[in-house]
Amino acid sequence: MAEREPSDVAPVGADEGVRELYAAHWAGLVRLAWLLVRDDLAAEEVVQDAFVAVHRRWGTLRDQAAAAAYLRRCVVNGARSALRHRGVEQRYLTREQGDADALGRRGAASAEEQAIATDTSNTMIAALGLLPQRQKEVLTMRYYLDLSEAQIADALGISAGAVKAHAHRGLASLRDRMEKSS
Amino acid sequence: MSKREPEFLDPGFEPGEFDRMERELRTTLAQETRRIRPADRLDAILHEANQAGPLTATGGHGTRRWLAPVAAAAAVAAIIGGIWWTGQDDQPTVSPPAGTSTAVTTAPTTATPSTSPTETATDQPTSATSTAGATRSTLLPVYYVGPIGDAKPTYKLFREFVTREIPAGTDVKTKVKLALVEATHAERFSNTDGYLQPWSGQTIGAVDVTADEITIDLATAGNPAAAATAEVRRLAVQELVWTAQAAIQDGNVPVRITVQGAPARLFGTISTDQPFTRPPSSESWRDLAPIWVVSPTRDEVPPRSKPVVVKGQATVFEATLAWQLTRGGASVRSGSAMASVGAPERGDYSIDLGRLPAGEYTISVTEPSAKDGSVAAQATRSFTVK
Repeated sequence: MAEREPSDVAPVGADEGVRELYAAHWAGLVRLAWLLVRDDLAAEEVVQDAFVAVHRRWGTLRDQAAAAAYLRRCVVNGARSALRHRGVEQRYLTREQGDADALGRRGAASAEEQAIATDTSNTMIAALGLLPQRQKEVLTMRYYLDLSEAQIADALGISAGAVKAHAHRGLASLRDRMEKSS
Repeated sequence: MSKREPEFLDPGFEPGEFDRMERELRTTLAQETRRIRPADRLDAILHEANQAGPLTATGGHGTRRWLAPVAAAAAVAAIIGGIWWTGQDDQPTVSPPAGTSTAVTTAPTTATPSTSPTETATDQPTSATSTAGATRSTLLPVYYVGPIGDAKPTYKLFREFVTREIPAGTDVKTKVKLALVEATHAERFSNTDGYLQPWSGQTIGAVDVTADEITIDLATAGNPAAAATAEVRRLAVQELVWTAQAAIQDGNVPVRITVQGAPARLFGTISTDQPFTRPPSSESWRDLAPIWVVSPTRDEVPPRSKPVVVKGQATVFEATLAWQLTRGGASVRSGSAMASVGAPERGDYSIDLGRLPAGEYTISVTEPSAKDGSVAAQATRSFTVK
């Protein structure tokens, strides 16, 4: 049956393509994942999984842009999955309540880092963490990754109208929380 | 960086209403993340992608902490054979995917008990993970709304077998409920298969099963924004119907849906006044995706020593399918296959790939369009031969 040994066909492209994607997107996506799961290790694992998935799918991805879009989808879904299965968010929120300065990262922030962190950004990051997951995802992709509405809709598998609605509601409740705390 | 799109927000907003918030949020996110210094994992990624076992449905590798229990549970299920799809599901041929028992080779045995059963089975008096022997690995058939693989894309239902630890002696109501909870959590299949999450945030309430009716109570009527079109909304409801009916395996028992105990309009449009059911088998194409790959299963690792046979179901014109096997993006082999019956009936197909050298493969099964030869539907499955 197998006269032609499939192993003769070198899987060209996948390694190289993933290397390029990694150089362009690794740090950004880990940071995106961190904003979604608030846990260093979980963030790296989610993005690592996403890159492995892209490698697996390499043959079915049309180009670099499609691969990047697929990566983002994987990261968002991986983050949701991680949150569901590990209660990461719960741990974060618990820590947050216990220590107003805690940002949910491994290790203590340096003195300089703590000095840089203004009250505003602490409050805002905490408020963002309390938003429903979809709103958090939309706002993070919009204002951290600077993605277009269409790119966000594609990454989340929802309509452009839903992206608008989530952005709107998210910004409104962020504003309310910020006003309350100031 | 600041490609502002004024239309990004709802038109109903005052222009500039959120300007300050947007600015602050941008600054904050940039500041926060600057302090995250990701460790270098390129080598680990390439190693894992090239060497390690099969990817799980979340796109992750099987040794991930929160996924390991699933693989281990699959192993247990295969070994004890206490598998629960022995009866009829929706088609004459819904039998467990052959070869499931070979899927166990890479499952770690040290996996900690999964926490998900206790997380969702809130009406269980005892912890599902309390003592060995108290639970049983069960494969639940669960339906999801996913893209059929055409260019549009069109959405229809796909069936997955999801492994859950279920306490021995669990009644059928609880089984239906557990299956429905899985159906509302499509996220772990969204990466690999693009399944939609129309019930995101939904909570399954009380479930009742009588000889004549299944009753499902939902916490909310569903968020219309999560289901973009009328067809997706309809399919979202059918996803629950097929899942519930498959769970009790007792024919097409009508499914009545309520929201907090009362009639409602699901997603704002679909009335719950009449009970729902699946279409007759001659019209299953209304709900089911044209092509399913049933085996190899997701976590299966076929051995080099045995021929790999791809099996699935298809509702395709003149029963004709094309297939292609790829490895690392390069085509290894291709051919055509016939389903046992053509559309509108749903047939079974089988593709014998013969013995394959160790490596990672993807099989794509395609229905060419009768009109212009474009892809009318396509299903893919990746698997690793060891």
